[in-house]
Amino acid sequence: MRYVIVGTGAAGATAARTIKRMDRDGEVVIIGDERFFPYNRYLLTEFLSGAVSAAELFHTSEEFFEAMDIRLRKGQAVERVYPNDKTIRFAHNEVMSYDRLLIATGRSPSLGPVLRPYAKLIQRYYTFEDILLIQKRLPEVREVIVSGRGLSALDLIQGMYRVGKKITYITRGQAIDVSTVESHLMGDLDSALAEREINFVHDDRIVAIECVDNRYLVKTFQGKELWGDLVFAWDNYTPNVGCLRNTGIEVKTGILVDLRMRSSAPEVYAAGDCVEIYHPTLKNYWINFGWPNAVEQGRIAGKNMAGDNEEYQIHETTLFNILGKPLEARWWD
Amino acid sequence: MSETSDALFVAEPERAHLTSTDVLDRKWIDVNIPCKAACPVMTDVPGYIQAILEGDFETAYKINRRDNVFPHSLGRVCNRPCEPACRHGREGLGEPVAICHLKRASADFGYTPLDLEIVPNGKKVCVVGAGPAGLTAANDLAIKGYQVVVLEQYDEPGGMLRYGIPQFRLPYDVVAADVKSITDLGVEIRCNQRIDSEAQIELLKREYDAVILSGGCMLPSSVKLPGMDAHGFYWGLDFMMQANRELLNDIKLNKVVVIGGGFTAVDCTRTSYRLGASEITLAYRRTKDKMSAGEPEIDCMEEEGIEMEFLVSPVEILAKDGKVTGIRLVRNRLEEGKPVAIPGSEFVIECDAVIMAIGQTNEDLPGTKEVPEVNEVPQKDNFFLAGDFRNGSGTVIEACADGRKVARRAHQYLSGIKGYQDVVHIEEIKLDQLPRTREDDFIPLTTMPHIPVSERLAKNREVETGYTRELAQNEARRCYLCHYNFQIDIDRCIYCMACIDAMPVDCIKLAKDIDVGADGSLRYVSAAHWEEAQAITIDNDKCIRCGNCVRACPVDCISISKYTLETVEVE
Amino acid sequence: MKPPSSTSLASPSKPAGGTKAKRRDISVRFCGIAGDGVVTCGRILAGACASLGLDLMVNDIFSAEIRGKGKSTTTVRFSSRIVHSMGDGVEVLVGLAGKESIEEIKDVRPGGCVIYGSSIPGDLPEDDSLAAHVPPNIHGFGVPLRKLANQATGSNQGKNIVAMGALCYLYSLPQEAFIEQLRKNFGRKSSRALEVNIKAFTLGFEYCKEHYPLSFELEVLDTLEPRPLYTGNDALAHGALDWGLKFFAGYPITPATKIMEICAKELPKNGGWTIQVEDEIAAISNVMGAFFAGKRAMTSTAGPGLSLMSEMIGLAVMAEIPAVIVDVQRGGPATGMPTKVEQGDLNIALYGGAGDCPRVVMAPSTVRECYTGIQLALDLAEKYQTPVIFLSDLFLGQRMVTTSIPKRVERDRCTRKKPFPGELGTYERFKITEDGVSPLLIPGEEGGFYTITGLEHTPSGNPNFESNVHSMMTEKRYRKMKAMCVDLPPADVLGDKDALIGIVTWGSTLGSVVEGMELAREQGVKSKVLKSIMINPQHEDSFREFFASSARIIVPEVNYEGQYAALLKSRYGIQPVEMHISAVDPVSPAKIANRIIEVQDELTH
Repeated sequence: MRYVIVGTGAAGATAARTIKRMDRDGEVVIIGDERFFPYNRYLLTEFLSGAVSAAELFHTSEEFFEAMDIRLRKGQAVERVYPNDKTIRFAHNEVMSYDRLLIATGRSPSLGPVLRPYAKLIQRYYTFEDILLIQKRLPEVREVIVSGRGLSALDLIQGMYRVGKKITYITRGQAIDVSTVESHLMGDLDSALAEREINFVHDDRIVAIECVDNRYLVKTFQGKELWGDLVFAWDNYTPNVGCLRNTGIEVKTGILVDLRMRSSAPEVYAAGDCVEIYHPTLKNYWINFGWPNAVEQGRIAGKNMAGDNEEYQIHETTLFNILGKPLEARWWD
Repeated sequence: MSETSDALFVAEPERAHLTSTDVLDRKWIDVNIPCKAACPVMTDVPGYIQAILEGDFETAYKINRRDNVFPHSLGRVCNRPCEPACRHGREGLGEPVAICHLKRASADFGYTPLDLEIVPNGKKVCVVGAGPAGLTAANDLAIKGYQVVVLEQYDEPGGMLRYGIPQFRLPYDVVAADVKSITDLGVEIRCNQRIDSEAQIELLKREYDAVILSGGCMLPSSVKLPGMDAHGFYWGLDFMMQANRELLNDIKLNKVVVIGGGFTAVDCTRTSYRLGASEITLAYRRTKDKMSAGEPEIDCMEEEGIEMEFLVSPVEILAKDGKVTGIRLVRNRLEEGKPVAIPGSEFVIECDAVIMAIGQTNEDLPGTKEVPEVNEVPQKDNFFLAGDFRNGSGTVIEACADGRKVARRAHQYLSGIKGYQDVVHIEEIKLDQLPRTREDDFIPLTTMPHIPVSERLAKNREVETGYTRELAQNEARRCYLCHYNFQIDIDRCIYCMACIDAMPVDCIKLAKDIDVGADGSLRYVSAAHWEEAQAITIDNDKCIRCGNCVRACPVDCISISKYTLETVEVE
Repeated sequence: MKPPSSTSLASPSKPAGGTKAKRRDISVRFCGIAGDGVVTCGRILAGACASLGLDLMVNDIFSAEIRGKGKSTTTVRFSSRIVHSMGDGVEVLVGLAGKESIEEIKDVRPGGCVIYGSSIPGDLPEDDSLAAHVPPNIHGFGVPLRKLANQATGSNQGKNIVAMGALCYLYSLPQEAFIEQLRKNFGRKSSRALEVNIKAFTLGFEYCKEHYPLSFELEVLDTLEPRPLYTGNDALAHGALDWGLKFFAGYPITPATKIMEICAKELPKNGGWTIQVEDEIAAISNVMGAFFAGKRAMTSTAGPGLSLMSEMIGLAVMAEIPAVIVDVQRGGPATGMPTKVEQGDLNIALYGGAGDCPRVVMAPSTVRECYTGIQLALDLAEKYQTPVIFLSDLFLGQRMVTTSIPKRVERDRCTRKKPFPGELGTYERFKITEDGVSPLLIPGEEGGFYTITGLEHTPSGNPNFESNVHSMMTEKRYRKMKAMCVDLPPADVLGDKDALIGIVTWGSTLGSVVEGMELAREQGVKSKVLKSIMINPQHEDSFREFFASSARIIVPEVNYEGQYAALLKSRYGIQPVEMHISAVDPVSPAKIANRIIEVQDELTH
């Protein structure tokens, strides 16, 4: 039995381990498009500011994969899944077959149609490679412009604050847009941000970016012109489901799975931040966010792939340790 | 055989060529010119793109005018079945050519009044409904010498083009230009003439040699939900028509929910935005990839800040004091791809307007249901049905295609010709006549210029500003010009493999055998080993017409020929 | 010896694979099939690195098939320090051919990278995919080589240049240096050729800039002067040309042909001659004829050719006719391995032929020594009227390095010992002298008629088979070898002079030995090596002194039976540790280091 796992994040790595424990002789191949050994993405900001070492950042190593007899293929992107042939195709045209497939590609910041033309002028803040590139550029950076929703914006602001940069934050609403933070925390958050002397631009959004003499000129919907040495901008964090386009596998924003983490195609499973599950309490579809849930989903997907039959129990979203650490500890300690 | 109208439009240079009626050659076109095959009217896409490439916008316009009648309008609002079919969009080859934008460029820069020699044949035809189907039929019959009168119920001709599509996508004067090009042929359009009874139709049938009814689909699909009578509820097409007749300019919109996933639904959200709504949500029962609206329109909608909810269906419209206050929706899950409501998942979105844009249906006109189909065309004596009225709500280009089909049948009926036949013209080309280089394959897609997002509140201002001539020619360079057929002459081939070394994709094969299907389709039985190969052959379906192989061939055994299709009358 | 740390990627402490730690020493291997332009890659990279003042060495390995789908590789090692050998393993593998490059991955060092083509048309099976074989401790960079080459050139040519652009970006090398090399390489052909190649390079560069923005950095010390590039064969040919070579005869054979090509091109410019003859017997005969007639002459061949020449070498010894025979050794015996290196011709060079047959045997160790050594060979042949066999080898002859070669040094050339004018009437061609060297005339000089023959002869040259004459003449011929010692350079000691471990090696193996010694030194083990271009005769005092100061002697060489060790044992009575390396590729410095450390362990326990 050949198990192929696309994605080396929390869900993918956990699934690989789980499968290998249950099916010692099964062949497990785990594929990631980043050049590095799997690491804890949620610690990147701490790594950037020097609060954690590289050793703490990486949770796997060559020895781990060797010991577990898991074949890691890193730095290689899967472009398309062919559920009818039970094969996947890599960006380099290689075709590989699977018996059971897990998609655990996570999600990443995406640019909507307005920002998309400026993609080359926007610095992404998502992968270890991004952080290393930012580190390289930091000495010439004084002011940064941030525009984006969600906790990742907070994370980024905190990171930039810690490395001593002046921050302009453009938000579509009146305040910082973190829909998942419970309202009673919002006050604390606002004051914590106020202490950091962040230049807030309310009710606005970026409509154009230009690069002038190695600096960036950002134009907003309201007609403001802002200057920065780095521009971070995204519209949403969207599940990475490009390899499923036109495959017939049902995708809403994320991959639609049942409680056994099965997608709509036979032998194709999905877990982690790239899936969407109907959440009866929320009466809504729910995209997982955060490390602990991804690990849990990876474990269940792995078990079911190896022949077990376990259902995922949707927990109340545990916001306080959503990124592995209590929220306060990360942002306003 | 007699010449059709094709030659009236575009004078092909006199070159020696073969004509073929072989099923193999006809099938070759379907397989090899996928854009053309995907187009309901089989527009000669590579033909007009090549004209643009050569800077001859006028010929490009004329090809479009001949094949799809409304180049100005379709160049903006066609749903573009050709583009997903485009070979350039296949895996690993990049983005499809912007065929539709190029059509617009052909009209923007190549529009020219037609100068056709029409010989009147003394017969009169009446077309009911001045929409795309009716006007196409009128156009085709006028060219054949018929005196055509079109009856239109509204103030202006154009049908959905005029009333169903917002001006920021399709300005009125653009529609008017296309209509004028038809009336220039002598077609008479009488507006404010509504035909809605069997008696009226009977009268017309006696008065004219033939009557074509193409009344369109203007009624909303019949869905009944509680609360639809409240103020602030609109049917999608009604909303668009009222907006297009400038009847909604004074309404106050704040929070709007639009139900649907088609072009009209998206148009309704964007029109609401321009009418001042601040929070607009599009709610669709399936997922984004299933929306029938085009990707560019969805992108524009997102640019304009419109939110989307997927896998939701409306349950009831909430109202207070006769005014809409919200909408109750239910979440769906997919069962075998079909949306099914999840019990207990109802939720409410507060809003002051609900627009239901879930499709249209035709009016029930007595006597029309019984018209029998003769060879796929509904015909009873000299009475024909055409367009959405017959087929249900479809796209503009499908309506045009149907109008053409019905016009051909009407002509056949009135003139006594036997029918129609496809012939393929095959013209030998030399490598130096091939107007492309391999470099052209790497030109990125030319994006359509738009007015800035911050200037989108002007209600009728067109958002897409069109390519310049230079941009159009640049985009035209991307086209593979799939009407070229590359073939290896096995008798002269020395099996040196130089072409295989030079091929850009997996397009040249060693074949054991080539199976020819009854319909002219080809299947290559590839040879795994060199020893088994009986032939070395170019798989034209994979071929991207780069010319590398021709340049590489040391014995000049690869030929290029250009295939064009013409439909001729059989007398 | 442990291999270089494999933790650079695996261990989180250096997660970026060296983005912070700058690299000082990089080996790049290009692997392709015929037509992929592997050699061009090597030349351009080498040229660019040389122009930056880096030290480098290039080694080409070709498939033995003359033409076809065989695999070739070019490896370029460059560094801001002196490069002595090809080292062990490579940092970068550029797979111009996908499937064929798979077996090269084993040579890529952990933390290194593989650049593979990502636009091979059609479905690529897993087994044929280079990317599928890249282990996790190596970075894989997919670059659509074929597609970008297509874009630049309109054909499938140019993948190599695209890859060069990718490499340039990934290792933060200055673009201009490469563009300049492209100008040199393609500028002559046509402006179109140059233009498309620059475009191919730029596309590869830009692709990596966009997709792999995080590049590695190479530390370039600014102390090195840009130096020209030579192969051993280049240096050897130019050394001879600069030293008065007037005649070359030969028959082409891999890996010696290049020498003949250069001579064919250059000799006619100075009124000289190059003749391609029907076989190696004719070649040596021609050379002897030319020398006999007073012109400096040379032939070059490989082992099979030297076998054929053996009989004529005997004649040259007997008739005391100078001749210089270059043997660029390859794998043997017989046709053997034309494209692989071996040091197996020492015995035939020393002992081949009939009878007591003294001859000079030399073996250069570096490219620079190919230049200076061949000049010494010409001098010794001329002065001592003897054949000189000059043992280069494939790795030395084909390797390309940055080196400074003295151009046309003005130094007194050896001249022939000529008879005094008074002696002319009674001229004896084989006159008995103290050093064994008899005055030599060019045939046809008035009063100096003489006979030469392959038969044993009297001093005047008349055939004679008496015992005392034969003893006298044999001893005379051997005496020349002893007398020669005054003209021989003493052997050099490299490394730690006080070390107890001494290494004696010959030919191209020296570079790997020097690097192996450095590796051992990093592990705390000192050693020294004796470097001598002379195999026979030798500056024996240097050797004896070296042996006396060493507790253990190691003799590494690339042959099965230890041919040089056998010579040293019989000549000096030593009992060395022999390393018979059966290599088809250049010797691994790590192997040498391991042996040094083992010997050290034996010494201490």
